[in-house]
Amino acid sequence: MDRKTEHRELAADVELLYTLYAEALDDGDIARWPSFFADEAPLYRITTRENVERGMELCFVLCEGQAMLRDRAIALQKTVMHRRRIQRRIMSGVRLLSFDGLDGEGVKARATFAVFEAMGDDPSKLLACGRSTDVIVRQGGELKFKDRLCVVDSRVMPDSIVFPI
Amino acid sequence: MQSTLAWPVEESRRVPGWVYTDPSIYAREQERIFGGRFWNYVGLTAEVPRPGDFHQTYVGENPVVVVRDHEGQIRVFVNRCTHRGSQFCIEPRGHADSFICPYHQWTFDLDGTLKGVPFRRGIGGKGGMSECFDPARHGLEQLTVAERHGVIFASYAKDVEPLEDYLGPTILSYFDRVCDGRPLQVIGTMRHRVAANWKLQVENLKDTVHAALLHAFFVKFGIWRNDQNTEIRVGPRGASSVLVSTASFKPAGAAANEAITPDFDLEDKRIIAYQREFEHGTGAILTLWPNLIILQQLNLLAMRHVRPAGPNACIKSWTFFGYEGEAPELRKKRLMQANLLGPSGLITIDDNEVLACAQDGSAASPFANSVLEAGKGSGDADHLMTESALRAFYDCYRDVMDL
Repeated sequence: MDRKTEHRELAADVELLYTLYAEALDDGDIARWPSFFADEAPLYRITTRENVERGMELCFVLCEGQAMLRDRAIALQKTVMHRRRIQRRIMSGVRLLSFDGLDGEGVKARATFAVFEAMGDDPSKLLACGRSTDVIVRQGGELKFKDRLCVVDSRVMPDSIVFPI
Repeated sequence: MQSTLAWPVEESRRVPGWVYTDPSIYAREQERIFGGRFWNYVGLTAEVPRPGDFHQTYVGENPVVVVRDHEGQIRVFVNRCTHRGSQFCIEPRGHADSFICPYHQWTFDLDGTLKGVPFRRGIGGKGGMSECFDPARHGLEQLTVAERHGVIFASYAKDVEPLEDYLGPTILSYFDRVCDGRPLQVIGTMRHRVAANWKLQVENLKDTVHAALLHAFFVKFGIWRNDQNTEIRVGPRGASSVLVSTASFKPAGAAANEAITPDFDLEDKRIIAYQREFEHGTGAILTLWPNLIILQQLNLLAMRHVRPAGPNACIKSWTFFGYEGEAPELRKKRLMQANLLGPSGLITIDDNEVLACAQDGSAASPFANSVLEAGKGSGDADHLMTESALRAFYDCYRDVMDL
């Protein structure tokens, strides 16, 4: 297979990862969320453009390691009180920044995200949009996120961000 | 259907729903409370360290600019050009030698004086500002400023009492417990809208009864229990209060009145692993009249500003901080524990969501009353099963608002 074809195949596989990830979360299947991340030292963060531009480390969500991902998933299912909402994630503009290292340090990718949310009798509203900067590795033949950083554009969130982006 | 807004005869043991929904009450609050002889939080000196540094914020719902002038003094201006009312400052934060309004480029010094008007003497000998125009009378509208231990307050009143008298000795001592004079360092912000009246949010931090019932996460890990060592202290006029607790860290048992205990344990305890920083208590949540919450819980330190955004919503702006030069391990703990707070906070989400439910309930029945009969009076207590801090808040509110 020539390099160009290899890259196209990888890009398609990465796009599928984002699609499956979004589908699971949209379906409310938070219990499966950690399984989209590598077993070994994954990192998941949600922060704002404001914090990034100011060089501030604070995040809305900071999960280091699979255990913290699983803890958040279970806490959201078992302890957190929230109104029922239906979310719809749109991931687009998925682009690989590198093509080598899939079985090593991982390949870098970026994507645009938009999360819409419907609650009560209201129409779906935009909850958050922004860009994710991610690292993807291959583990046991499947692609997983090693590092996922979601940076939300707006300064003020319109509501709680209950579930992960 | 009542047409006048009369407070129930039970005084602060009742809160009528219309305080959370009525537009005329909201407008009166802007004038009497946020425009009154009170101190409004506007930021930290750490956010404006050098002359020329500025940021935008709000007093009530009025936009203001906080700036350190060329002499190093903190100033707070209404963000309004004195020419035709445009906001002169359109960046949320930054650095400037002077403020230049984008519309007609009226130029203001950092101390608020008007120092430049383009074409003041006309163009080609024609026009220009009339002889009636005296620039000295058109400086920026300025608020009275107070600063203590790195925290900045502002007031529309010229005759507001000194901050220390305003807080009173007890509340001041809790303020100084966290803001003790060591330079503070901002580690980031969280800002999110809550679909509830600003007072419901402020009340939430005076409501000691809900913590161990709503926040199942707290109970499960012994961070907050109804039988732990706690006290409520109320400041002058009932305006400000502090809730102090000492976590027992005993796991949840079968004690009565606790939240349902889920069958689950944290795999990674770093989200709540903390080091004791303060001699007295592990958590102290201060609410300063009118709308500032100073949070200290475990190693979390945050200024939480509750900006009113119409009667039915507020915007919570959290400024998280630590101390300059602190150990990296302590800083890391603060960042980890922040998972509990804010729009994705495993504790805060409970409050955001239930407050929206509270607002929806009140909006539908504005002439129904909240019942505050837990405990008696509006004073200090050495336990949490009381609504005294809530009654105290409404003692002050009714007085200020003439209700």
